[in-house]
Amino acid sequence: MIIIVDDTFVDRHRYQDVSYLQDVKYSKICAVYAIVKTIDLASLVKKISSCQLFCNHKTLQLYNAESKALNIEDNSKNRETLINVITQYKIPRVEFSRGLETNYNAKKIDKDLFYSNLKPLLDYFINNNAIEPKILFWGESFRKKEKLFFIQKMMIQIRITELGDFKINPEIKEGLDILYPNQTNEQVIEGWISKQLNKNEIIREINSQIQ
Amino acid sequence: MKGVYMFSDFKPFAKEIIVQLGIPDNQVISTQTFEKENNYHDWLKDIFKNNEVEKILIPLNLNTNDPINDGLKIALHIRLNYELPVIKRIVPIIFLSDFTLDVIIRNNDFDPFVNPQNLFFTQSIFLSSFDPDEIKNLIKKVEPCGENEYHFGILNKLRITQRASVGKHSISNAWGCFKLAQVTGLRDEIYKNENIAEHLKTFYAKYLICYNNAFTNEIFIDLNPMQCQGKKILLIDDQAEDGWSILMKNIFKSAGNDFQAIDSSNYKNNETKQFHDFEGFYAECQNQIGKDWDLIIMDLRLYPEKEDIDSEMIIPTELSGYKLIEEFLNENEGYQIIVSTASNKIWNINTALKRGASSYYIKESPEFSYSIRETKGIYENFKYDVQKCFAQNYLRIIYDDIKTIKKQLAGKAYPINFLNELNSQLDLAYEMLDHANSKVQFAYAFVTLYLFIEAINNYFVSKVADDKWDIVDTGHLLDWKWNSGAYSNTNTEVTGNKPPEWQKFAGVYIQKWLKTDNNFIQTIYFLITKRNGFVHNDNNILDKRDYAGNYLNHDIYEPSGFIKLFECIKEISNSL
Repeated sequence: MIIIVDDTFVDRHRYQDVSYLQDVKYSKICAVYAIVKTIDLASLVKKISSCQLFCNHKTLQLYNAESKALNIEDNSKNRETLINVITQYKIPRVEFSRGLETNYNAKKIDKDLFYSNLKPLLDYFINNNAIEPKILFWGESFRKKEKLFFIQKMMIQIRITELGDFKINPEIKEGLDILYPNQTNEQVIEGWISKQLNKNEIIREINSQIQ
Repeated sequence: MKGVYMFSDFKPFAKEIIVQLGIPDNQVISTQTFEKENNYHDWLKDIFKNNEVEKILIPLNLNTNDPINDGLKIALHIRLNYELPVIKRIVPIIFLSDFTLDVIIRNNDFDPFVNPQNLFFTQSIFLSSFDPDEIKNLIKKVEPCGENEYHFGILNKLRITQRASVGKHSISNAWGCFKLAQVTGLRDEIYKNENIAEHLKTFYAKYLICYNNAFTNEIFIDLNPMQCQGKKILLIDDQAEDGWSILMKNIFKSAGNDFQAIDSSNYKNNETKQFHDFEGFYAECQNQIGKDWDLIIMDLRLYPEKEDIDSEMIIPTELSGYKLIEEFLNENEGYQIIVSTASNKIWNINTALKRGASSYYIKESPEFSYSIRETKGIYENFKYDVQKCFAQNYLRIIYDDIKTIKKQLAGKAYPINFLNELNSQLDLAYEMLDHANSKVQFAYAFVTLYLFIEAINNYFVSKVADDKWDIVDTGHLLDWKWNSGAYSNTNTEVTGNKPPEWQKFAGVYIQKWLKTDNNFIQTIYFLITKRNGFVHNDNNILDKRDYAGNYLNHDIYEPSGFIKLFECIKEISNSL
């Protein structure tokens, strides 16, 4: 289950199509809470144990029992309490907000981008029974970018490692597994050695292999 | 490596490159990560202001957050940093990546609003692998493009659009506030305002500002500040706390505490700046209706979350600002309202003007390039409009008085037709005064108001047998004459075809209502004479002067003439 807590959700349809979230197909795997009252926090926390990804508006506004917005101090206190619970349960969490710099490492994302990539995330969940948060940050073609990450790490190691040590460098091995799935690492490295490629030529060779 | 700087995450690989290139430590910039775009703007501005950067190396994979985009975004912040002189913005940038351009472009989903990949196709951008020799060669070769290339060779090739949920309204509000502050001496204070800065330092705003060359460090001081002592001024703007309130308070400094702004922050989420209680804000605005404001400055879109949606066409009359204008004017048509809007949608402004707003002020937007002199001109127009509103403040007072008169009349036991005629005459006279722009129009408003007296006379005085005139339930109209400082009669009844209107009124006033104020009758006499002078084009009357040489009747061409007559109408209504 993915839980989204967003006090600004009520206006989201103005910017992006989020009507699909009402379809049973999506609503059974993704629950959106737009108005969260302090009296509802306990019931929300109960659902946390079945939650696999918790996404919250960074500046989430909470409401009291009379549906009045909490003041800044009370709001921060209650919001922090909720976030602490998520942390205690070790639930993966993504924070989004308007104008927030998207940063995969920090798990922070611009709100427009979050909602742009939400449907692919849910579709992936439905098809693979797995949640892949990278989809939120990098979109449907996240695998391409992931591949670039591994290859980039490999290229950095190629720059700073002696050719003879390539075979034992774990990051080079990992990169080669991805880039040359039909050859062993040894075959690829031997090929470079036999062609007497220098490091720049190896880098060019790698680039030519990237689809 | 003089003047060559490099961004670095200080990981071993980056350190090795720096050593191999021989870049001194003080020319290595430690990369930072921030949560907001404006932080990057400020950070890079400081770096470039404090260092003589001639060439800069940017690894595309800064921060290992993204193999490509982090470096591109840093570069974009440099290119669009309008606070830097153009020569610094166009510094040659050498991107470092072991990926080829082809791989970079084909294997990335770039931010669809910023499109940073377009940078690769602009002037003064170079791409090198991490091979130190290649980098060194490139450093030797690259030269900055000319400043004249900035627009055509760089900006024209970028494609930056606004983010889906950030309306133009917000950027225009921030920019408009900043520009107006520039010509009113409050520039630095406004620019420091967190909300203003946040809006003006996003990629989209920065792109617009650079594209239109709209930023300037020039500071103006207003040597002819707004004269508004004793004037009550109200600002209704959902962005009031985002700079506009401070700015307007400064513009209307001489009004002191009589300048007030509705503080929308009480009804907004402090962090998102979005309304959580718009109804509460609107109700507080409504509470101002009926108060004696000399000027109201009103934003048309008070609820941007609902009304600043580019994809939705909102009917002008549905805008919350328009609805408030209507509510204010329904209470008192004489309120002087200046529409202030960040939108250039002329149909919205026209609708407000048609409803009765006095004039408008369009907050400047970075999309339209105005020089600082033009901004000053726009501000001078605003000042002129404000003074015009102050000068027309009699309209609100008269409108209020007319309402009071109508209430009084409604309680009188006169035939409904007669009361309706009096009411219509008042409405008509007000309407003409409200629309009067020329001398003749003011005179016609005066003549129309005078018809109120004629209606009174027609109701109370009528011709009877023997050429005599009867006053209702009183007797015959007597022949009143001015005699030694007072009106008297010799018990002679008026006879003849048509006695003058002042004389009929004197009969009603003295004989029917038993009033004794001779000065009042004399004033009525002069006012009616003035009216006759205009209607019959009698220059002997119109150009009559007092002993000091002042024209006695030329005020028929001005609001003051109307006001004098209206004061008498109030007195007459009280006597009815």
